[in-house]
Amino acid sequence: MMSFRDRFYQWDKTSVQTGSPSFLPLLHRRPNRTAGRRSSAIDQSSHPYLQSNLDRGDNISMVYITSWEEFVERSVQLFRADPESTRYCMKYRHCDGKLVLKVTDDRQCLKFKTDQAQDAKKMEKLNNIFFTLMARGPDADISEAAGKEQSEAQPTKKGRGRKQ
Amino acid sequence: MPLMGLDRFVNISGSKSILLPLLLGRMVLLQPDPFLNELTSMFEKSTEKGSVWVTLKRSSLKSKVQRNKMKTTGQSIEYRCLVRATDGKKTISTSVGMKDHQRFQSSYATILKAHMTTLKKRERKDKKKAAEAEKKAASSKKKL
Repeated sequence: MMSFRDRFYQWDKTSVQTGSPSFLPLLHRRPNRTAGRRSSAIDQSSHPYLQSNLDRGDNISMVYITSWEEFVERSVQLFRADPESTRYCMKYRHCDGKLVLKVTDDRQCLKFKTDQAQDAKKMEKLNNIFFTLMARGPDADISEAAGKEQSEAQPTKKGRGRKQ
Repeated sequence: MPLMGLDRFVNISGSKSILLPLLLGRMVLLQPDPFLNELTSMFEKSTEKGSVWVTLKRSSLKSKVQRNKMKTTGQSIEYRCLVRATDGKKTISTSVGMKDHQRFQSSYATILKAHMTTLKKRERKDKKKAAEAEKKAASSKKKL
């Protein structure tokens, strides 16, 4: 465990990119710890310091995202921006029935937690997306992975030929 | 596959000889199929307590030195998808390339579907069923 001072000065060095003042990370520290424990009920845009990770690229705050579509879009964006260091983690606790997904490039972190079975199905698609991106490359076409079910559903509807 | 300097931390082995490296607390690099078998057993063991973590990452499995050398000589670096799984005690991993990633991802999806059973189903449809099930349970308890 690094001391408070070491963390502060380390953060200071990494904040050169956006030119953010070095005292901001200190103020960010408390919200970071609680954001992980509480649910994602905190409105990111209104709070002056709990800004979106994309606005402050050097921020290392944990963000729980409520919308699945937003989580997918931002995590794919994050991966494409830095395919070398971005990883996609999943944690499943059978005893609690909880599933947590995390996508991080060790600078930004996007998380999604759920206890719903429907989200597990959505996660499968995201798994396919990431497998394709990681095995084939960040420029790979993921429309197959994401839109597979859609393309399968449409032909069957047309084939019935009933009144709509 | 040469792993410069990383041999201390990683053991490449088939499915049978993973006991010793696991006891030594090392990461075990497996082929995709033994990995899936081990992953299944991890899920089965951690039903009452514990978690299973699975991490996906793009990697060439080569050290920075090797990669820089390959860049300077103009060789193309082959990237694979590194999949790691742990239950907090032991860690297993495998790497999946372009050719076998689709087969792997479908097997992986099957395993997850089979084991992620404690997640809540949608409440709207199951409210009536849950209410009926509760009534039945209450009546059967009274009889006993």
